Amino acid sequence: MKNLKVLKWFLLSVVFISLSGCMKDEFLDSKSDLLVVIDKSNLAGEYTLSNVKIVLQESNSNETSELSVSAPFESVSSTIAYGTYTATLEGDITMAAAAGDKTIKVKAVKQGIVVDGPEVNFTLELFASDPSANFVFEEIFFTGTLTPEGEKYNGDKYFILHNNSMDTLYADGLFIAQSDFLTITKREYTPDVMAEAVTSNQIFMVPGEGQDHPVLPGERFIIANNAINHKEYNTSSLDLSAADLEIELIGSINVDNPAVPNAINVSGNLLMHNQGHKAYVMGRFAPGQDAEAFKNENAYTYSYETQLGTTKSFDTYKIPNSYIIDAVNISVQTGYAWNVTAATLDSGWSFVGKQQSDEERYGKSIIRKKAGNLENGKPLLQDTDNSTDDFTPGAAASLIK
Amino acid sequence: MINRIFIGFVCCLCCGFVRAQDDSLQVHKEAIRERTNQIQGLRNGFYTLPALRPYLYKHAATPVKISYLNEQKELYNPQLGKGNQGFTIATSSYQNNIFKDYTVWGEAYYANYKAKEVRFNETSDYDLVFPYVTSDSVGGDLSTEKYHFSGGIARTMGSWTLAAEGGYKANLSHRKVDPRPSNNSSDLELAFGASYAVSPKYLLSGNIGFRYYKQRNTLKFVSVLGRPPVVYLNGMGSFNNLLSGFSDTNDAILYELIGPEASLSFVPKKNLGWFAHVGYKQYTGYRVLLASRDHSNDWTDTYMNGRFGYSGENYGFNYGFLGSLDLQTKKGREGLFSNYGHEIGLQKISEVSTYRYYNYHYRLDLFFGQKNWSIKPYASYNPFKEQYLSPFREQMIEKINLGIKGQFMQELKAGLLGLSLNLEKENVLKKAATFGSLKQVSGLGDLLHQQYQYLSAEPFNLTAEGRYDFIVSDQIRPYVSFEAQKSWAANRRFYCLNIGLVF
Repeated sequence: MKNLKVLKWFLLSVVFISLSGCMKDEFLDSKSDLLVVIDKSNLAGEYTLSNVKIVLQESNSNETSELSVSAPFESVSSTIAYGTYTATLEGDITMAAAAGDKTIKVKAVKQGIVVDGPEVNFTLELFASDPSANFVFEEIFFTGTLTPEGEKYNGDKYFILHNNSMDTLYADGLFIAQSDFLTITKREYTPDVMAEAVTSNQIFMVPGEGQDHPVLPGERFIIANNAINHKEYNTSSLDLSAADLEIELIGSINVDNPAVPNAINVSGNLLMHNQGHKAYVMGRFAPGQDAEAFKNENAYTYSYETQLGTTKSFDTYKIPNSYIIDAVNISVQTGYAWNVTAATLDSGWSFVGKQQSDEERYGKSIIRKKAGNLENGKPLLQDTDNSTDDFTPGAAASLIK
Repeated sequence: MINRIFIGFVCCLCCGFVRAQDDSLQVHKEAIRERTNQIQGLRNGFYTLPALRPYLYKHAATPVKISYLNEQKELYNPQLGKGNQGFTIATSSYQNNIFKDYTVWGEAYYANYKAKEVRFNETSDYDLVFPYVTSDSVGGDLSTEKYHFSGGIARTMGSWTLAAEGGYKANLSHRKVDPRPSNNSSDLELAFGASYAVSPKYLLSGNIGFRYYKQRNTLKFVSVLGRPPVVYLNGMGSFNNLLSGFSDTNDAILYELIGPEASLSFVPKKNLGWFAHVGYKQYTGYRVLLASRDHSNDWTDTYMNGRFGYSGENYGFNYGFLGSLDLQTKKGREGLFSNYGHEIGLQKISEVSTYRYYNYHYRLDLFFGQKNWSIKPYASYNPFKEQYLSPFREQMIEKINLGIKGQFMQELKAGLLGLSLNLEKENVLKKAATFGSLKQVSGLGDLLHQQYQYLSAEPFNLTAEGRYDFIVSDQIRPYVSFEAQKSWAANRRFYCLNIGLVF
């Protein structure tokens, strides 16, 4: 009897073990409620966002998950497994411009997001990113200044180039050219190559072996007429002694600063038109092509018929549009006749002078507008290939303090 | 050093007990029968607990054997290899007549074998530390030496028996070509028990135990070129991206396992009657990798088992049944780390529960027979499930095995001959697998598919065993035995040859 009781207990135990052997243990809940706040303070102007997605990559497992963000693109919430994450946002941003909208990318990245509690919040700071971004003209100061005595002062003109990409770019080999043709005088040039090239015989090039002049993302490269402290000669002028490059002007007005490298004159001596009746283009020659080869391959003779019926011919160079990475047509507000570059390079134009020989133009330049910030917080400049939209006309030259 | 300890221990077991043997031929045959008879073997399983050892055998004996084994299979778990080839020297002793009321026993073995073509596992003692092993796709043969010593003593005082047992195992594994693991493990077990005669016929026994296991391993490469990626698996082909890739350093990967065991048994004193047993073991383990001294993984391994059976005898016939269940559940957690903003390297930020392993066995054995023959039909049901969370992976297989084992024993003039044949068919009732989001590390996808294929195979197994014990002189009682197995479907071939002496 006693033995049977003991046996019963054993049987009960075996049944208990059998029942407890259930294959349905739940995994512990190791997830957090996630809130991602989207900070758009780096974006400027009118824009619309679309196709915004956040990819969350967990460092331990290398697994990724994706969140879609919808309008008004303020925040997104989800649940997320514990881990250490890198969040990468990518989407499209369409910037409004009179000449047409331009769509580039909008991005944000945040690393080292530790998710180990019931809730996790973090902010993604958006920045615009143009995959095709390159050097652009940030500012062209072509008017010069006046001395306190009211005399014209030309040596203090400058270009500011801007690295509008998120890569370090090298200015070595970049050329800048001033157009032969005037934007205030429309003529029928023969042969007409404007659809495929820009005509110029004032071309200089940045020297270097390829990596001598690095420009970090969002940084500037200043090219001065004379890279000196002009304030020593004209208190209304500016200090260009810290410029990155100086143009070799014609001997009578050239002042060399040995501490600043000189540009290589490919053709002529580029002296910016102080009323801005020209176009400026920036680009690179074909791979392997040096200045001599460029000139040999792109010599160009054009002619036009004057009002008197005579024909004038000029020897110059045609710069293929494929070489050009940025172009700006400059004119006078009330004297503009036409663009001297193909519309594919620039479909607009900018100005400083409101009319011909505007005495108010001195000390003013055209400055490209800011579209937002790059990932590193540096400015992203607007580049819609329309100078009317992209530049602020008649702005005070930024280097004059 | 460990070799000398082993040899000394074996000498003690052999020499110490030789003088005490009962040397009649008949007694010798009885001692062999109670150790090799398959029906007795089912019962013996209940009496291996320390406090029931005095009731395990009637006759003392000390067998010593040397064995050669070779295994070859074409369908296999790559983490365990294609089969083992090597030899073992083993001895065990059971003495119940040296001192009045005392029973002593001991075991020792030395195994030296080659685990063939082990891949995706550079760690030893897979059954204890899986799935947390070091993995590379190259692998190769792994040379292994194992040592084991154990012994115990039980004292019977009236209705009570008190007992203690201790054991130690060591495993030394290495490979002499790249990749070169060097693994050392120690496994210490202690157990204590008491049994009480609840009636003139039956015993109730409680036993508790404790296990402490430790493994240290390194993985080195001599060749600078062509090193495979080394990853530390977290289960079902997953691994921690931050922790993996470190190898060839002087630091070691460490494993530790610790846990209690407890069991309760109700058994007849003399092999006939009702049997019942419940047991529970739970080990908690952890792994520490090279990239961080924090635990990369922690797990609990729980074993529950129950046995219930009856053994009767009528008119020279033995009959009975044994129902058993063995439930293993493993639950693993893995550490999550951050490598941002910490000068000291990786910092553990959390741990998550990601791994589940369930391996259950339910089995029923029926048996009947006489002194010289017996038949044991059996059936088992084996549901198996393994899961990994994020990315979710799962393999689930339910199998049923049906088999029958017959044994024939014949007393010859100078000895005892035993032959047995076991036929078994494995059938899959249900199977399913989901292997999501496999990483592009060479071969891990193949590993999972190969394991699944192995687990869901339906082989027909044929096992033949034979043993002949004979007497040369009063002190020289040799035996030879063999075991051969062939599995169709898995194309497994195994054989083992043993030559031994029984003192």
